[in-house]
Amino acid sequence: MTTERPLLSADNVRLLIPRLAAIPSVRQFDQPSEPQAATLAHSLTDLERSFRAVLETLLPRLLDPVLTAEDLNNVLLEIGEELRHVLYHIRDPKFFDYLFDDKNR
Amino acid sequence: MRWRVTPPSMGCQMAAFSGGGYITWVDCPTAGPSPEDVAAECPAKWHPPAAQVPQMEDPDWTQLAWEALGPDWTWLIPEAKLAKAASVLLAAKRIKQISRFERQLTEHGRASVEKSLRSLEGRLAQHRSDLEVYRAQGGYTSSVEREIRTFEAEIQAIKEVLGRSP
Repeated sequence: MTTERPLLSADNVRLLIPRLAAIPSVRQFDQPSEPQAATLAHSLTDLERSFRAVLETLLPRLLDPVLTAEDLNNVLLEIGEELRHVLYHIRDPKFFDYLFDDKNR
Repeated sequence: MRWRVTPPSMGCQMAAFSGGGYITWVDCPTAGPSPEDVAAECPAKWHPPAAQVPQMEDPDWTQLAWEALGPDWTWLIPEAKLAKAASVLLAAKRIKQISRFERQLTEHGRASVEKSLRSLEGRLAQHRSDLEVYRAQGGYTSSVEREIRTFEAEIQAIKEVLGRSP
Protein backbone atom coordinates (compact mmCIF):
# COMPACT_ATOMS: atom_id res chain seq x y z
CA MET A 1 0.00 0.00 0.00
CA THR A 2 1.30 3.48 0.81
CA THR A 3 4.94 3.85 1.77
CA GLU A 4 5.33 7.44 2.95
CA ARG A 5 4.97 8.32 6.61
CA PRO A 6 1.44 9.64 7.18
CA LEU A 7 1.10 13.38 7.67
CA LEU A 8 -1.30 12.80 10.57
CA SER A 9 0.92 10.50 12.61
CA ALA A 10 0.03 9.78 16.23
CA ASP A 11 2.39 12.55 17.35
CA ASN A 12 0.94 15.08 14.91
CA VAL A 13 -2.61 14.19 15.92
CA ARG A 14 -1.71 14.87 19.52
CA LEU A 15 -0.57 18.34 18.44
CA LEU A 16 -3.59 18.86 16.21
CA ILE A 17 -6.31 18.19 18.80
CA PRO A 18 -5.65 21.28 20.97
CA ARG A 19 -5.34 23.43 17.83
CA LEU A 20 -8.79 22.28 16.70
CA ALA A 21 -10.17 22.64 20.21
CA ALA A 22 -9.29 26.34 20.12
CA ILE A 23 -11.81 26.91 17.31
CA PRO A 24 -15.24 27.96 18.65
CA SER A 25 -17.12 26.47 15.69
CA VAL A 26 -15.52 23.12 16.53
CA ARG A 27 -16.03 23.45 20.29
CA GLN A 28 -19.75 24.14 19.87
CA PHE A 29 -20.20 20.41 19.17
CA ASP A 30 -18.31 19.23 22.26
CA GLN A 31 -19.87 16.57 24.44
CA PRO A 32 -18.61 15.80 27.94
CA SER A 33 -17.14 12.46 26.95
CA GLU A 34 -16.19 13.43 23.41
CA PRO A 35 -14.66 16.76 22.42
CA GLN A 36 -15.38 17.45 18.76
CA ALA A 37 -11.68 18.23 18.21
CA ALA A 38 -10.77 14.62 19.04
CA THR A 39 -13.49 13.25 16.76
CA LEU A 40 -12.38 15.52 13.93
CA ALA A 41 -8.72 14.58 14.40
CA HIS A 42 -9.60 10.89 14.29
CA SER A 43 -11.70 11.40 11.15
CA LEU A 44 -9.00 13.40 9.39
CA THR A 45 -6.43 10.73 10.24
CA ASP A 46 -8.59 8.00 8.72
CA LEU A 47 -9.48 10.18 5.73
CA GLU A 48 -5.77 10.65 5.03
CA ARG A 49 -5.29 6.87 4.99
CA SER A 50 -8.12 6.35 2.53
CA PHE A 51 -7.15 9.28 0.30
CA ARG A 52 -3.60 7.96 0.15
CA ALA A 53 -4.79 4.47 -0.70
CA VAL A 54 -6.88 5.81 -3.56
CA LEU A 55 -4.34 8.33 -4.89
CA GLU A 56 -1.12 6.39 -4.41
CA THR A 57 -2.22 2.82 -5.00
CA LEU A 58 -5.63 2.36 -6.59
CA LEU A 59 -5.79 5.10 -9.23
CA PRO A 60 -2.36 4.15 -10.64
CA ARG A 61 -3.52 0.54 -10.90
CA LEU A 62 -6.47 1.64 -13.02
CA LEU A 63 -3.96 2.87 -15.59
CA ASP A 64 -1.99 -0.38 -15.63
CA PRO A 65 -2.32 -1.64 -19.24
CA VAL A 66 -1.85 -5.26 -18.16
CA LEU A 67 -5.04 -5.33 -16.11
CA THR A 68 -8.06 -7.14 -17.56
CA ALA A 69 -11.64 -5.88 -17.30
CA GLU A 70 -12.14 -8.21 -14.33
CA ASP A 71 -9.00 -6.83 -12.65
CA LEU A 72 -10.24 -3.29 -13.23
CA ASN A 73 -13.60 -4.17 -11.72
CA ASN A 74 -11.79 -5.42 -8.63
CA VAL A 75 -9.84 -2.16 -8.39
CA LEU A 76 -13.10 -0.19 -8.65
CA LEU A 77 -14.56 -2.27 -5.83
CA GLU A 78 -11.46 -1.57 -3.72
CA ILE A 79 -11.97 2.14 -4.42
CA GLY A 80 -15.56 1.62 -3.26
CA GLU A 81 -14.29 0.21 0.04
CA GLU A 82 -12.14 3.30 0.57
CA LEU A 83 -15.10 5.53 -0.30
CA ARG A 84 -17.27 3.67 2.24
CA HIS A 85 -14.65 4.58 4.85
CA VAL A 86 -14.48 8.17 3.59
CA LEU A 87 -18.28 8.51 3.78
CA TYR A 88 -18.28 7.29 7.36
CA HIS A 89 -15.74 9.91 8.37
CA ILE A 90 -17.59 12.71 6.62
CA ARG A 91 -20.78 11.73 8.44
CA ASP A 92 -19.33 11.00 11.86
CA PRO A 93 -18.10 14.43 13.03
CA LYS A 94 -20.89 16.84 13.91
CA PHE A 95 -18.77 19.62 12.40
CA PHE A 96 -19.60 18.45 8.86
CA ASP A 97 -23.33 18.01 9.47
CA TYR A 98 -24.08 21.00 7.26
CA LEU A 99 -23.08 18.90 4.23
CA PHE A 100 -26.20 16.76 4.60
CA ASP A 101 -29.89 17.30 4.67
CA ASP A 102 -31.73 15.06 7.11
CA LYS A 103 -33.04 12.73 4.43
CA ASN A 104 -29.62 11.86 3.03
CA ARG A 105 -27.72 11.61 6.26
CA MET B 1 -44.61 -7.94 15.56
CA ARG B 2 -43.31 -6.75 12.16
CA TRP B 3 -42.91 -9.26 9.38
CA ARG B 4 -40.51 -9.27 6.52
CA VAL B 5 -41.26 -11.95 3.93
CA THR B 6 -38.71 -13.04 1.36
CA PRO B 7 -39.31 -15.31 -1.66
CA PRO B 8 -40.03 -18.90 -0.68
CA SER B 9 -36.53 -20.04 -1.64
CA MET B 10 -35.11 -17.65 0.96
CA GLY B 11 -37.57 -18.47 3.70
CA CYS B 12 -39.38 -15.94 5.84
CA GLN B 13 -37.96 -13.64 8.50
CA MET B 14 -39.60 -11.47 11.07
CA ALA B 15 -38.43 -8.88 13.57
CA ALA B 16 -39.05 -10.07 17.09
CA PHE B 17 -40.11 -7.53 19.70
CA SER B 18 -40.42 -8.29 23.35
CA GLY B 19 -41.85 -5.91 25.93
CA GLY B 20 -42.03 -3.36 23.15
CA GLY B 21 -38.29 -3.60 22.40
CA TYR B 22 -36.56 -5.01 19.31
CA ILE B 23 -34.79 -8.28 19.99
CA THR B 24 -33.58 -9.72 16.71
CA TRP B 25 -34.52 -11.01 13.27
CA VAL B 26 -35.65 -14.62 13.49
CA ASP B 27 -36.79 -17.25 11.04
CA CYS B 28 -40.53 -17.52 10.70
CA PRO B 29 -42.02 -20.66 12.25
CA THR B 30 -41.58 -23.66 9.97
CA ALA B 31 -44.55 -25.52 11.35
CA GLY B 32 -47.97 -24.48 10.14
CA PRO B 33 -48.54 -22.56 6.93
CA SER B 34 -46.03 -22.66 4.08
CA PRO B 35 -43.87 -19.59 3.35
CA GLU B 36 -46.17 -18.83 0.41
CA ASP B 37 -49.18 -18.85 2.73
CA VAL B 38 -47.31 -16.65 5.21
CA ALA B 39 -46.40 -14.26 2.40
CA ALA B 40 -50.01 -14.05 1.30
CA GLU B 41 -51.11 -13.15 4.82
CA CYS B 42 -48.17 -10.89 5.65
CA PRO B 43 -49.32 -7.39 6.64
CA ALA B 44 -46.16 -5.75 5.24
CA LYS B 45 -46.76 -3.62 2.17
CA TRP B 46 -43.70 -4.74 0.24
CA HIS B 47 -43.20 -8.12 -1.41
CA PRO B 48 -40.39 -8.51 -3.95
CA PRO B 49 -41.14 -10.43 -7.14
CA ALA B 50 -39.77 -13.96 -6.88
CA ALA B 51 -37.44 -13.39 -9.84
CA GLN B 52 -35.51 -10.64 -8.04
CA VAL B 53 -32.84 -11.04 -5.41
CA PRO B 54 -34.63 -10.01 -2.23
CA GLN B 55 -33.73 -6.73 -0.57
CA MET B 56 -34.78 -5.64 2.87
CA GLU B 57 -37.06 -2.64 2.69
CA ASP B 58 -35.94 0.65 4.20
CA PRO B 59 -37.07 1.20 7.76
CA ASP B 60 -40.65 2.36 8.07
CA TRP B 61 -39.88 5.42 10.19
CA THR B 62 -43.52 6.04 11.09
CA GLN B 63 -43.86 2.48 12.30
CA LEU B 64 -40.55 2.69 14.19
CA ALA B 65 -41.54 5.99 15.83
CA TRP B 66 -44.78 4.36 16.93
CA GLU B 67 -42.84 1.37 18.27
CA ALA B 68 -40.57 3.72 20.23
CA LEU B 69 -43.06 6.30 21.43
CA GLY B 70 -46.44 4.58 21.34
CA PRO B 71 -48.43 4.29 24.56
CA ASP B 72 -47.29 1.37 26.68
CA TRP B 73 -45.94 0.59 30.13
CA THR B 74 -42.45 1.93 29.34
CA TRP B 75 -43.78 5.49 29.66
CA LEU B 76 -44.00 4.79 33.40
CA ILE B 77 -40.24 4.27 33.70
CA PRO B 78 -38.04 6.81 31.87
CA GLU B 79 -35.08 4.41 31.70
CA ALA B 80 -37.28 1.76 30.10
CA LYS B 81 -38.58 4.25 27.53
CA LEU B 82 -35.04 5.33 26.67
CA ALA B 83 -33.91 1.71 26.38
CA LYS B 84 -36.84 0.90 24.15
CA ALA B 85 -36.23 3.93 21.90
CA ALA B 86 -32.54 3.00 21.64
CA SER B 87 -33.39 -0.58 20.70
CA VAL B 88 -35.78 0.61 17.98
CA LEU B 89 -33.16 2.98 16.56
CA LEU B 90 -30.58 0.19 16.56
CA ALA B 91 -33.05 -2.03 14.71
CA ALA B 92 -33.55 0.70 12.08
CA LYS B 93 -29.80 1.12 11.65
CA ARG B 94 -29.40 -2.62 11.26
CA ILE B 95 -32.14 -2.75 8.61
CA LYS B 96 -30.35 -0.01 6.64
CA GLN B 97 -26.99 -1.79 6.89
CA ILE B 98 -28.43 -5.08 5.66
CA SER B 99 -30.30 -3.25 2.91
CA ARG B 100 -27.07 -1.66 1.64
CA PHE B 101 -25.24 -4.99 1.43
CA GLU B 102 -28.23 -6.70 -0.19
CA ARG B 103 -28.18 -4.00 -2.86
CA GLN B 104 -24.44 -4.52 -3.35
CA LEU B 105 -25.06 -8.26 -3.70
CA THR B 106 -27.69 -7.59 -6.38
CA GLU B 107 -25.70 -5.04 -8.36
CA HIS B 108 -22.11 -6.31 -8.00
CA GLY B 109 -22.34 -9.98 -7.02
CA ARG B 110 -21.31 -12.16 -4.14
CA ALA B 111 -17.56 -11.70 -4.72
CA SER B 112 -17.89 -7.96 -4.16
CA VAL B 113 -19.64 -8.49 -0.82
CA GLU B 114 -16.97 -11.02 0.18
CA LYS B 115 -14.35 -8.40 -0.72
CA SER B 116 -16.16 -5.91 1.53
CA LEU B 117 -16.10 -8.45 4.34
CA ARG B 118 -12.33 -8.90 4.02
CA SER B 119 -11.83 -5.15 3.81
CA LEU B 120 -13.93 -4.47 6.92
CA GLU B 121 -12.19 -7.24 8.87
CA GLY B 122 -8.83 -5.65 7.99
CA ARG B 123 -10.03 -2.21 8.97
CA LEU B 124 -11.44 -3.57 12.23
CA ALA B 125 -8.06 -5.08 13.13
CA GLN B 126 -6.28 -1.83 12.27
CA HIS B 127 -8.67 0.26 14.37
CA ARG B 128 -8.41 -2.08 17.34
CA SER B 129 -4.67 -1.58 17.13
CA ASP B 130 -5.15 2.21 16.86
CA LEU B 131 -7.39 2.11 19.92
CA GLU B 132 -4.61 0.61 22.00
CA VAL B 133 -2.27 3.41 20.90
CA TYR B 134 -4.83 6.13 21.76
CA ARG B 135 -5.47 4.52 25.14
CA ALA B 136 -1.75 4.39 25.85
CA GLN B 137 -1.52 8.11 25.03
CA GLY B 138 -4.39 8.86 27.38
CA GLY B 139 -6.44 10.41 24.58
CA TYR B 140 -10.18 10.33 23.90
CA THR B 141 -11.27 7.04 22.39
CA SER B 142 -15.06 7.27 22.02
CA SER B 143 -15.11 8.01 18.27
CA VAL B 144 -12.72 5.11 17.55
CA GLU B 145 -14.80 2.81 19.73
CA ARG B 146 -17.95 3.92 17.86
CA GLU B 147 -16.29 3.17 14.51
CA ILE B 148 -15.21 -0.26 15.77
CA ARG B 149 -18.82 -1.00 16.77
CA THR B 150 -19.89 0.08 13.27
CA PHE B 151 -17.36 -2.27 11.65
CA GLU B 152 -18.55 -5.13 13.86
CA ALA B 153 -22.19 -4.46 12.96
CA GLU B 154 -21.39 -4.23 9.24
CA ILE B 155 -19.43 -7.48 9.35
CA GLN B 156 -22.38 -9.14 11.08
CA ALA B 157 -24.76 -7.72 8.46
CA ILE B 158 -22.60 -9.02 5.60
CA LYS B 159 -22.43 -12.48 7.14
CA GLU B 160 -26.20 -12.48 7.45
CA VAL B 161 -26.66 -11.39 3.83
CA LEU B 162 -24.13 -13.93 2.53
CA GLY B 163 -25.65 -16.64 4.69
CA ARG B 164 -29.07 -16.07 3.13
CA SER B 165 -27.75 -15.84 -0.42
CA PRO B 166 -27.82 -19.05 -2.47
